Parts: sequence; structure tokens; C-alpha cells
Amino acid sequence: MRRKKGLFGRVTRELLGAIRIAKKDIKIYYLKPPVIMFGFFFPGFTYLAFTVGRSLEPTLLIPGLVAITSFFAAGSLGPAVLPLERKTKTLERLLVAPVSPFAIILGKTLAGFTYGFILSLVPLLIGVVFLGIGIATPILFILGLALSALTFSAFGILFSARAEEMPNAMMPMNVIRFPMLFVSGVFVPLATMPRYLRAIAYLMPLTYSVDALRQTVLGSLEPLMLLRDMAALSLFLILFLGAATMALRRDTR
Amino acid sequence: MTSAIVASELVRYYGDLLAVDHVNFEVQQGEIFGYLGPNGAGKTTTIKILTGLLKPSEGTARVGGYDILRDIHEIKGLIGIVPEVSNVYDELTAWDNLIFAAELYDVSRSEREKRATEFLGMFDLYDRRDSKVGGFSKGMKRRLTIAMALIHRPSILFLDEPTTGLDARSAVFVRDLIRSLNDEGITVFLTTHYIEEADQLCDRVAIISEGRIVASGAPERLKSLVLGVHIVEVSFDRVNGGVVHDLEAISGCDAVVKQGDKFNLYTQEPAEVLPGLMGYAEERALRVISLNTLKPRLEDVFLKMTAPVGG
Repeated sequence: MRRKKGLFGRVTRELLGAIRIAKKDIKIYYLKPPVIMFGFFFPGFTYLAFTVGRSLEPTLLIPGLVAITSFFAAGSLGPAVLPLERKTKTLERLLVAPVSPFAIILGKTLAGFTYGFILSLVPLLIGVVFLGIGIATPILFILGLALSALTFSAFGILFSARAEEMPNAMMPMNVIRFPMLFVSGVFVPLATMPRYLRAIAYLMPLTYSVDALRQTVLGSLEPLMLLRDMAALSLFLILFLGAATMALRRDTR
Repeated sequence: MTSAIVASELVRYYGDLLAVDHVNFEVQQGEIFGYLGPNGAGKTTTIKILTGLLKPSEGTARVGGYDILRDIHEIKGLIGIVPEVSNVYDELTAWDNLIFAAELYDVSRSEREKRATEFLGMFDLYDRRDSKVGGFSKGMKRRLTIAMALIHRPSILFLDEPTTGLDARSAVFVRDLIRSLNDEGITVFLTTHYIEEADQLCDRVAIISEGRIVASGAPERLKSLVLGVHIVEVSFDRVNGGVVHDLEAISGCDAVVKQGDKFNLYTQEPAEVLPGLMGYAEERALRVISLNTLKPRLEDVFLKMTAPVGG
């Protein structure tokens, strides 16, 4: 085994470990039925159910659809991966290897992120090619989408970090995911919501994702608001990663 | 000779249950150390503590010279682990499983492929290298699990029940492999249910019962603990119900264990038991097919040491 010394060596090793775990998860889990079901079909049908017959502007519609797809797709990998790895004892293989629990969690988050990010490009392409929408600030849009997919993936991993069976992760996660869908401004503008619902909305990462993506598509950039969205998403990401790592550490207590 | 593993007063509770109770042992570099005990004795818990999967409630241990509480990251790079369950990725091919295991241990890219090819050949899996592991037999999965544990060339190998559930051919393969790995200088820490396996393979064994080590030493030395106990092994041309009970009533017989079509009579005085045994056969019109006196086996030590109190 190669040993890279010092902090830089340690960080490189952990990062490499995370990427290798992500690569393995991508190979194994992307075609699992729950991942396809909850990650691909579900966001599409949900969106159609709430938008068909309503005259929504494509520039509002598409960023919302991109955010939802990223939200469901990235978050679906955790419940499909971690409980199964715990059941087949392959999680033990990772825990006894010279990679930290944080690297394991980060690896799984990166696998979900890749899935969420790529799938989110589907509604985006539909919007650009068929509905002719333009993206005012493409680099900021991609940055916002990447941060959203990372955060949503970590959200799914957090709910799965202690689960022994997939439903044990999926059920509680959905209890939070669905209400989040309706209060985060995807279908109903935040401005029209009662004050208490708006307060709840600002506790949800999806709210900031939808806002960031809309702002970058419309070009109606308010730098401070976009900064607020990115900062909030980053904070949620750190929180989810930290809590999931702590949950996984309990396996070795 | 330096120590590869030193366990010092290891204690582990699960809630109120005491699973490992002040365990002490030392494994020398280059030896095969057997850790024997009935189900639930604390064997797997001990391995989990030594490999960083569990923390001890009290005590500590050193593995490869490193402390399990302080330097577990260093220890992880030195050890290979074959758990009781073959934890391979069914959805990946044999090749991908090995490459992933090598990546986890940061083996360089060129070495990864070289070693994967070498191990697939060594473990007789080369022809199936591109097959998904889900379709492999239990024996093949076991071989792959061992190959994955060795891919980073560990100096200490932990094997938890390596031959349990394997067919005879696979079990012989695994035992031969353990010997040859040990010949190459790898220290082996082995738990097994199969006492004969430990007797054949191990330089030293420790017997654990209800979380405590009740005996330890070289197999031959342990057998001397039950010297004075003789075993008369007998088989008859037919077996009626209640034979064990009848044989136990023979004067001088301490206990009877039925093993297949044979009965083992444990005694301090074989000369006293033999006439009684013959008398019993004559009385029941049974023909004696075979009659032997046996030396105590490691199994007898195990049974004596792990017998429940009052049992």
C-alpha cells in the first residue's frame, strides 16, 4: 500500500477513496429499480400532474422541473445503496479499509450527485431544445445545479446511514420530501403563501435550489439573493454530510 | 520473536450483555493462531475489535505494533480480513471486485492489474474473471473474498470461520491456502468451529467460552490437560434406542458421546469399562464391529473447557 504522508497526502487519499467508492456505486446501483423509479419516472410524473393544464411560463417551469429531478434523483441513491450494503456486509468491507467514514459518506454522496446532475440535464435539454428557453447565466446555473444535486444526494445518504432495510430509509425520507415539494415554491410562488408556510419553506434546501436555478435562468440576478441561496445550500450540504458521517461512525462504536 | 497481536484485558459489552470478558492473548509474528469457541462465545466480537469494526468497552490491543484505539488507520493498511460472510459485490465481476479491493487499499494502478491477474489464477477463478459474482458458488465466493483480503499483501490475516458451509474440496483448498500463506510469512488469526481444522492448522489455540479464554497453548499441550481421560470407541452391528443411556450405566464410564455409528465412552479406567462393555454386548446379542482406545483429541479439550457449569 502506498502511504502519502502529511495533511495533503491524507486529503488526497481520502478524496481518491471517495471517488473510487462513488465509481463502484455508479457501476452497481444506477440500474436498480428503486433508483430508476424514484429518480427518473417519479419526478417527471409528479411535475406533469401539477403542471398540465396550467399556463406556466417555460422559464419558470423548467428550472422548477430541473430542481425537482435533481432533488428526487440524487436523493434516491442513498436508500438503494446503504441498507443493501449493510445487509450484504459489504459496508463492513468499506469500514475496515483504510478510508474514513467521511470518505465513505462522501463517495456515496458523489455517486448520488452524478446521477442527479445527469438526470437533471434531461428536462433542461427539453426546455432549451423544444421550448426554446435560454439560460441567462449558464455557469452560475451549472454551479447552482451541482450544489443542489450534492446537497440532495447527501440528504438521501443521511436518511439511509442507519437503515437496515430500504423502506426504513425511504419512508421517513418521503415524509419530509413530499411536503418539501409543495412548500418550496416549485408549484406555488412563495410570495402567495401564508407567512408560516413561508417560514417552513426557508428551512428546506429545495427552496434555495429552485430560487437559485430560476434566478440564473431568468437573469434577474440579485447577487445577494443568489449568494444567500448558495450559502444556504452549502450549509445544508455540510450539515447532512456531517450528520451522516456521525451516523455511520456508530457502526464502529 | 515479536508479537503480531497483543490483546490486553479486552472487554466488550452489548448493552448489559458481556460478550468479551477481560481477554488476554498474544499472537507471535508468523504463526497460525486459532481462536475456538462455541457460537456466541465472543470470537467474532474479538475479531471486530482487533480490526477496528468495534471499540472495546475496556482494555486495548496492539496489532502490528499499533494501538487499536489510537492508530487504527495504520492497522487497517496492515491487515486483511475474511469475514464469516463472503462480502463480495454480486453485481460486479470477479475482476472488478478485486480491482475495487485494491483501489480501497491504494494499490498502484499497475500493481492492481498485475495482482488481480495473479490472484485470479492462484484462486482458480481466472476463467470466470468477467462473470458477475452473483452467479458464483459458495466456494468460489469464499475464494474471491480471500483473494480480496490479500490483494494489498497484508502481513496479518484475520479469517472468521473460513471453511464453514464449504464443500469438502473447497474447504481443503482454503486450508492448504492458509498453510501456504503462513509459509510465506503471513500471520494468521483464525476462528473456527472445526476443532480438527484448528488441530491440523494452528501453532497455538485459545479456547473462548462465554467471553472468557478458558485455555490456550499449542494443541498438543492442551491435549495433555485431559490426559488421564481415556476414550473407548466402540461400534456395534446394529443400534437400538437408549444405547447411550445403557452405556453410561457401565461401571467406570463417565460419559458417552455418539459419533455417527460409533460410541465414545469417556473413562479414567478403561480396564474397568471393557468387561462391562463386553457384558452389555453379550446381554443384548450385539456384535462388536470395532473397538479402539483413543488418545484425547483437541475436541475433547474443547468440550471439557466449554462445558456449561454443572453440565
